[in-house]
Amino acid sequence: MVYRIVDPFSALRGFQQALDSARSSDWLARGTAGTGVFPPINVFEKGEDCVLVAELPGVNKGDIDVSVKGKQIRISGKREIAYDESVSVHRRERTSGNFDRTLTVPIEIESKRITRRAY
Amino acid sequence: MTTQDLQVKEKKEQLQERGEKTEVGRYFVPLTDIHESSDALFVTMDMPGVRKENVDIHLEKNALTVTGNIDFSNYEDLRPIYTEYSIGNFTRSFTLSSRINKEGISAKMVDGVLALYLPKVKEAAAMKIEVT
Repeated sequence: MVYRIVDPFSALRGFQQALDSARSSDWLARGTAGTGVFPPINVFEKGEDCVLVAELPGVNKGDIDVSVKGKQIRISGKREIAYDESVSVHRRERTSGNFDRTLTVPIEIESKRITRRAY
Repeated sequence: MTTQDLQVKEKKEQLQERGEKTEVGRYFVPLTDIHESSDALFVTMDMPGVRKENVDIHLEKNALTVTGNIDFSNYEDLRPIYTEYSIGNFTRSFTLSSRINKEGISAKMVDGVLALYLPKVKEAAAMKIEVT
């Protein structure tokens, strides 16, 4: 099923439901990849190709390292959060640190055709 | 500083405690840092997928409400096959303890992080009181 935007609000709700129903589907089942490793990833089908979307707020595009080897995709990097030392903290929910995640996908990747962009 | 590995945090959904939303769809609570200096408050929010033109910042008296809408058109023609997180708009409200100079508020969005600068009204700025 393809989502066309007719009414953006009901389309969003429909899309949220579609995301929920694909939650931890068995698409990766035979691979070694585990869930719960940062960053969280959503995988989509777009025609014949696949789109992987990862949530990495606060990480500059240049600080994300993506490498592909065979069916494996590795996404790694570092998220740094720095504040001036003179400020006092009211609330700290955002965290900094390293991330390194490898996914083995059940498709053949044509590494030359890989593109990346910010969503 | 020791560097540690980042952990996945499940996105928290906005519960409709403070009035119903008129739009359908789920809202999420953005992870937020709040810092204070002697003359301003800094609010930093993670809003992945939100563009700066889709952020709404509302300050009335000392109630600050920030809403960020995602650009859903990116997901047109995509069919989910394996997912680990949901997407949706973000909203969060705070009651500020200091009086803010509304005219001086500025905001910027970099890499999906919204940084708000809220300058305090002059008389609310911290004063050092000397004891004699």
